[in-house]
Amino acid sequence: MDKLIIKIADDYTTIPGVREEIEGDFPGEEFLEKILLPKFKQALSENKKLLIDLDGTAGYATSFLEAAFGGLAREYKQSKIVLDTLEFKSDDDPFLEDDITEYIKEANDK
Amino acid sequence: MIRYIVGIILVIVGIVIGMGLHHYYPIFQFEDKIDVVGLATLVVTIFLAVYIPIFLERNMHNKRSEKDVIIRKIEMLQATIRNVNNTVGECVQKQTVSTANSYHLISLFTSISNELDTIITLSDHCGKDKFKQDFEEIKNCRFQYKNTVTGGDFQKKGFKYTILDKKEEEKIYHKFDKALCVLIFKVNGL
Repeated sequence: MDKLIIKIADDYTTIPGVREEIEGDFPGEEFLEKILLPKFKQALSENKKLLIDLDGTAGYATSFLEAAFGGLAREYKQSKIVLDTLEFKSDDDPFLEDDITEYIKEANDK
Repeated sequence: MIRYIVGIILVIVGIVIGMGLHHYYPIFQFEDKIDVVGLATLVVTIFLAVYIPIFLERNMHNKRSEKDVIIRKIEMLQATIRNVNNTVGECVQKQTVSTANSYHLISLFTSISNELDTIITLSDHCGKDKFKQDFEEIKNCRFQYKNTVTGGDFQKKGFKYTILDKKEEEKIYHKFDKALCVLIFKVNGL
C-alpha cells in the first residue's frame, strides 16, 4: 500500500512546543490543524497509510504529543481508525511510538 | 590449541616421571590391577579437573561480564532519572521552568528511552524472557514519569511546577528507581 508521509522536522518544526496555540510556539494543536488532520483526511480518502516520521527534532513533550495525536483521535471519536491509518518512525526515541499509541487510546476514555 | 598441547605434554611428563620413579626408586610399589573404585575416582578427578577450569569457570566469567555490563547500564539509567528529579527540584525552587530547563528535561527523557531500550536488548541476549514483567513495570514507570514531568501545561509561558506536582514527581521517581534497583538484584541472581 502506498503511503503519505509527514516528517515533522521538515514539514513543521525541529522544536515542537506546547499544547495550545495561546501557550507558545509550535503547539500540538497547530500541528494537528495545519498538518496532521489534512494529511490524515487525504490518507483516509485515498485509502493510504500515513507515516509520521518523528526523528530530527529536539524531542517531544507529552503536552505536544497528546494535543496532536490524542486530538486526532478525539476528532474522529474513535481510536481504532487512527491507529489503523497511522504508522510511525522514531529512531531517536524508541518508546515514542508506544507513548503516542497510548495517548490515542486514552483520548476517548477521558 | 596451545592449551591442549600443554595438557598432552603434562600427561606425557607425568607418565615418564611415574616410570622413572618405578625404575630408579623401587621403594614405590605399583599395583598391576586396577580396582573399580580407583578407576571411578580417576575418571571423576579427570572430569572435574577438565570441566571446572574449561567450561564452568569460563561460563561463570562470561556471565559475570554480561551482568556487569547490564548493571552498569541500569545504574546509568538511574543517574539519568536522578538528573530529571534534580532538574525538576531546581525548577520548583526557582518557581519557573526556563526554556533551557524544558529542553533539557525533554532530552533527558529521550536518553531514558534509549538507555532503557539498550538494557532490554542486552537482557534479552543474556536472560531471555526472565525480566519481561519487570520491564513492563519499568516501561510503565517511564511513561508515567514522562507524563508527570512534561505533561499538563509544560512549556506554556509562565508554567511552573506546584508543590503537589513535585510531590507526585517524587512518588513516581522513587517507584521508578525502586523498580530499577530490583532489576539489578534480579540480574545479579542470573
